[in-house]
Amino acid sequence: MSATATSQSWRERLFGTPVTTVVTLILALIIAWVAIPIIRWALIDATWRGTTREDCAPGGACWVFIRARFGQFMYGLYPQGERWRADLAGILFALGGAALVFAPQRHKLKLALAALVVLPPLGVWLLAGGFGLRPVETREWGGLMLTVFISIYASLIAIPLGILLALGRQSQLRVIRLVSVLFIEFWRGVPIIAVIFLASLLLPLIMPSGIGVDRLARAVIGLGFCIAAYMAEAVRGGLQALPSGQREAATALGLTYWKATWFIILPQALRISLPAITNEFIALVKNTTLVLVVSILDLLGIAQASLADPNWVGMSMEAYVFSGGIYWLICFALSRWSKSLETKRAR
Amino acid sequence: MSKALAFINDKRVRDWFYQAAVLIGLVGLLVYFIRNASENMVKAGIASGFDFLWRTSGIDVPFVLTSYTQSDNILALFWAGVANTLFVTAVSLVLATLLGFAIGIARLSSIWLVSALAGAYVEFVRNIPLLFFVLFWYFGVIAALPSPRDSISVFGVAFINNRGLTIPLPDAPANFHWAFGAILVAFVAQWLFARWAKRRKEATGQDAPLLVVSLILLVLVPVLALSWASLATRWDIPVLRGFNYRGGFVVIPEFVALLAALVTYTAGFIAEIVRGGIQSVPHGQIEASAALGLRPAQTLRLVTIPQALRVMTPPMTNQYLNVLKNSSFGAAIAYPDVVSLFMGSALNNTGQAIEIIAMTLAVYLVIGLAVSAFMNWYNAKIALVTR
Amino acid sequence: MKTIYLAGAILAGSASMALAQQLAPSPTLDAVKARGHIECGVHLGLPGFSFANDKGEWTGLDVDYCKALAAAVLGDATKVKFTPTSVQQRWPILQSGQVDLLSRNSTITFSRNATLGLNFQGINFYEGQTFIVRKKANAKTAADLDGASICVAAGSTEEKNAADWFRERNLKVTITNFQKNDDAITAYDSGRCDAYTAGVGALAGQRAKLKVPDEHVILTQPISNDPQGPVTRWGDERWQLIVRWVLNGTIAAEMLGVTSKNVDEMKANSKNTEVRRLLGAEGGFGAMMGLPDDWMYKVIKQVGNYGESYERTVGMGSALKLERGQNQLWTKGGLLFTPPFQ
Repeated sequence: MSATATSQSWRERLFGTPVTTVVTLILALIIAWVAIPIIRWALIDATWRGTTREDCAPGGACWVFIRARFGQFMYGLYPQGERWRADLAGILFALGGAALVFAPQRHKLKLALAALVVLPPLGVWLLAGGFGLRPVETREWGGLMLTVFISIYASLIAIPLGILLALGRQSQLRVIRLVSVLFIEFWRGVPIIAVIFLASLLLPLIMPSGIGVDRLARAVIGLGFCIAAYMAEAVRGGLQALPSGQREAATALGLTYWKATWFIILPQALRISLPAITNEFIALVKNTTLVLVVSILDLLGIAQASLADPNWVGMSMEAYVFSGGIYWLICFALSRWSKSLETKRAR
Repeated sequence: MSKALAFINDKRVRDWFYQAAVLIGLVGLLVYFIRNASENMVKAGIASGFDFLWRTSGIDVPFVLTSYTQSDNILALFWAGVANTLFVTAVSLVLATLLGFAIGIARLSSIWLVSALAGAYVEFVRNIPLLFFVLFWYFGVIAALPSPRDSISVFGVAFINNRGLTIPLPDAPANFHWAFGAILVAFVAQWLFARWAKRRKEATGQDAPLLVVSLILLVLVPVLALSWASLATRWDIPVLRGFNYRGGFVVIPEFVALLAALVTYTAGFIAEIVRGGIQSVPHGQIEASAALGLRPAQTLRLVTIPQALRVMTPPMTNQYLNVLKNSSFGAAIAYPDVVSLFMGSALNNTGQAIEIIAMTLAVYLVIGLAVSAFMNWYNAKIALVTR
Repeated sequence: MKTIYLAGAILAGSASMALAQQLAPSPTLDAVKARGHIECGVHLGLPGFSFANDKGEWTGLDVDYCKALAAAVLGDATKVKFTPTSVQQRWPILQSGQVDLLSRNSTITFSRNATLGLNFQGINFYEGQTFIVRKKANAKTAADLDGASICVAAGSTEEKNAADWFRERNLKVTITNFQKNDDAITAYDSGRCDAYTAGVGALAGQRAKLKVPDEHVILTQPISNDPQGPVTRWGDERWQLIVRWVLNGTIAAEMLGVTSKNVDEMKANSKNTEVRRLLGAEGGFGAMMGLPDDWMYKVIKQVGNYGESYERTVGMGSALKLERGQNQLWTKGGLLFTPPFQ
């Protein structure tokens, strides 16, 4: 019964009217014309097993290359024996994130604070080493691990700073409002490629001599500042959506500005702006690819670097499809999540 | 004592104090950074100041819209870069808007496969970094074009190959100046006529032959003027000699690849804005216009889009600014924009990082402000129209 | 008793101070010693000069120089870390002190020396700019490239050289400037350009990155002369001294016939005073720079002399198979020269 109903509705959808039928058929032909060569290349004619370029059949994708380089795509040049640390850090962050999403409402704030205090230093310790772990320099980090690292740590700068800026932009105090607006508009107005370049060149120059800032830290700081401005606009949307009565009521109850903000305004505003914040986070993940202009090898960077290997010449399609696919999966999952948040709120 | 306390507790005093503290802190930090920077630069022996702008650049640029040549100074190189940035941004804006509208409307199509395809396109495009698009179009698509010897010929006057699109250039542009002048006059005349026709209709209810006049002024005059100019001018038609076509004007593949990347990527975002805008128009409006006897296309043009535009303008402004900023991705594929030419080549030859970065950032900020101002003006204008 | 000790201590103290005063302070050397390794800026990846394999191990002529410096300064050639730098990043990275030196096949030019706050400490490779073209294009010299489009790395000397060279000869070429050498060579390989220009040595290494290396030919006649060598910041003369003389030492060792194989024997038995000074058997040359006297001994022992390094990285013992050419000792018809160790 239901099977016939669905098949009927499908027939309706695809071939409901003459016009629909014609358009559907033409489009189907175009899809087939485009998709069949791609599928043949990626799956049917592809080579999956082997160890060298010579093992690969011409005309199809050479996934052997990805297999041989898989470790590098994931961890860059991170020492083989220490890669469990990156895995562990990833798992910890994933658990932390899951706890935040699924925790009951009243524990959320405490949990968030605890995660914010414990996880970032723990993650840096696991990855960078020291204090009992073998030190691994940031120049050895790379691949997907680095993409995730930059995304998370840049947003650790961007989200708090963005909230402050959004509050500043809504502030009654004229100077603070002006400073916030200038900050936000400056960083939103310049291309991120230039910001990363700027951070890598300028940070060492403006520090007192003798104080070095790690290459990776510079990129993270640059990205963090830039995304903070975008985050601020996302949070502002949430703040503006709140009825002004909320703050007035809190003030009437005798709460100070910060108390009212912390207990009344922010929890509501952040919940409203969470989808927007997630979208900015997706933008951040995509923009991490730009660190390649300062020779930091994130997932795309390592894919490009692997193309220069004389033993694996001509693998650009494979490298780009694989790394692009990973970016797509991450961003698609995040955007679905943000959409579901939005619909949940709308209900 | 209590007076002093009252003074401290006075909200205005406190506000003033906080603001002064923030300001002093920020200015102090800025001064500290600048002092460090100048000390470090003196110690490192790095030259500073803007004198370098008047040094000869010596850099050959393959795609110039200004009068820049290799023997001009670095300031001229800067302007050549700015012009290229503006050019690719402007063309991308127009094409991305068109494609974005098409996809956004397709997403709302009643034909399932059309809306599904549009949806798939949007989901695909929005979740992949722009850099992939740039690299894909450049190394994947453009590089697959034939070499100059096997060029695709367009009527024997323009040629497409992996060195770009070579188009003929007029030897003497004078005729074209006349033609463009005529077209401009025609456009102004059309605008005046339309205004007059509207006024008369409002006053007397009489229709003017607007369609015929528009066709003559907007289509016939340009076609005639351009064909006259084309026929009356000697053309520099590109000829294959040695490695490449000589003569004519070359639209370089870097431009095409960057343009294609910006358009395909941005269209995905614009499509979502368009869809959101159209869906924000209450359904009752569409039913009402159907009841008034408007055809679906008319409803879209006269009822839905004017209202949707209001919702769409602010997010569209953001996308337009994104296109401007994203044009800097051209640096990854050697499109000679301001980042690539100035922050790349010129920075390397002069080493004056701070000055060069500041100038480059200023370009984006100034153009960005101009675009924002225009879009705000446009926003105010369409908001007025809907009353 | 106590006073004697005290007097002794003061004497010893003042003596060591007097000694220390002869040496100019060297913040870079102190930092290197405190850090335990040298930070060396190298090319992103240029086979034969500086190239990291998939395990992250660096090899090449420029890399060897940094290893030699580490052997001289820290006694261990492995105590060096490499920072890969793009054409754009190299000067700022050196200027801002993130690396102790650049050994990055960068051409020595007047304006770089005069305006960038950089000093070039000698020549470890005489490079000459040339072109790689497809065999079927049938070009024999650069002059045959009239009308060609040429891919080049932006901000390199090659970018300007090529533009100048063709303009002076009234030849019309289109030069497309990429941000990275690898992008430029990929674009050339994909057919975007008729030629890719870089130094002879660099091209020999990069040729391996092409899909079918045999379809391409490197034009033999260079259009320029691009001497390359290690680069330091202005200031810290003692560090500059060390950088300069380690390079000179590897060349002198080849002149004097000292190799990694015979260095022990030479140090013990050689009668040649220059060899003895070089290897620290007499003269106390190391101490004059604040290094151990056997600094060059360690370099030769661990890394080898210039000739050994050349053969291993770019010469006949490598995939590049470059002739010595200009990079031969001046006594054998090349340009390689070192002032005497006297």
